[in-house]
Amino acid sequence: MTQENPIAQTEKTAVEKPAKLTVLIPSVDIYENNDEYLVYADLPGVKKEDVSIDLDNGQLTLIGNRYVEAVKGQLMAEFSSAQYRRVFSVPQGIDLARVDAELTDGVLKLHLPKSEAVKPRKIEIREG
Amino acid sequence: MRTRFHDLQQMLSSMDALRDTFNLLSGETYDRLPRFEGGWGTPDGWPKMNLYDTGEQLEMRIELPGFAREDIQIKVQGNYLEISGSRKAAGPEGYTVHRRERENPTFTRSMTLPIEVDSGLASASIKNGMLSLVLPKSVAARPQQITIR
Repeated sequence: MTQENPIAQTEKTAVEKPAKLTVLIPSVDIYENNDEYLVYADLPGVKKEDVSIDLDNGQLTLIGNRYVEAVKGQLMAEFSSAQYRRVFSVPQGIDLARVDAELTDGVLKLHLPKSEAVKPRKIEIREG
Repeated sequence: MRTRFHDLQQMLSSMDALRDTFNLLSGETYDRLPRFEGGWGTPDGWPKMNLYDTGEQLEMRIELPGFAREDIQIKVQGNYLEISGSRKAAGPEGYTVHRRERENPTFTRSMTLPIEVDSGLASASIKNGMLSLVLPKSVAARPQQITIR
């Protein structure tokens, strides 16, 4: 009689493969001038195709997945695969059609141009 | 007396450990709260690095976002490694600053490698803000196959 009748079962595979990546908050700089808002975000090791930027309902969601390939013989690990995620509230008057992003050296530069209606304007006084 | 930011992090680290235990038990990730460690570098202000031993060589990956090739200096001698660098002033001209979390760090991180490496054959490359460093082991430190006569 060697029938196994375990009281509790655990799925071993689930332990090694967490379903979701660890979420990290990227450091950002936010700048503004008359024409646009400019966001810089540190995303080390994130490839261009793994970045997603969604603008919805006044919320800008920035997600960058960083995958660290497994190399055998790991002696020291201070970082691993992770998801950089951050949500911003964007003021009204952003020209959505002209939003532009570039990723260089692991830094994302996101340009959010202001629409013409909200740009500061000087009003000329006519001779009456 | 040393008062550092990571004293605070040490206090919170037991919470992290507890959460990791729950993650292990359930097989799910409870990291809905982002961790405290998202910023650049370790609490000491050094870039984060991973070190691997692939048999013939040591390999390193180092997070260096916003660093160009010429911003980084790497020195290797025997089993001593020193990496230093400084990031250029990041801010654009003529903009008002709303938020500034990214530092312009100047750092030097040195370490003793577990194995002597051949500094002449070392090579490095940087892509997407991630520095890859390949350090072939010195001949004396490489594993040798011994044939039995």
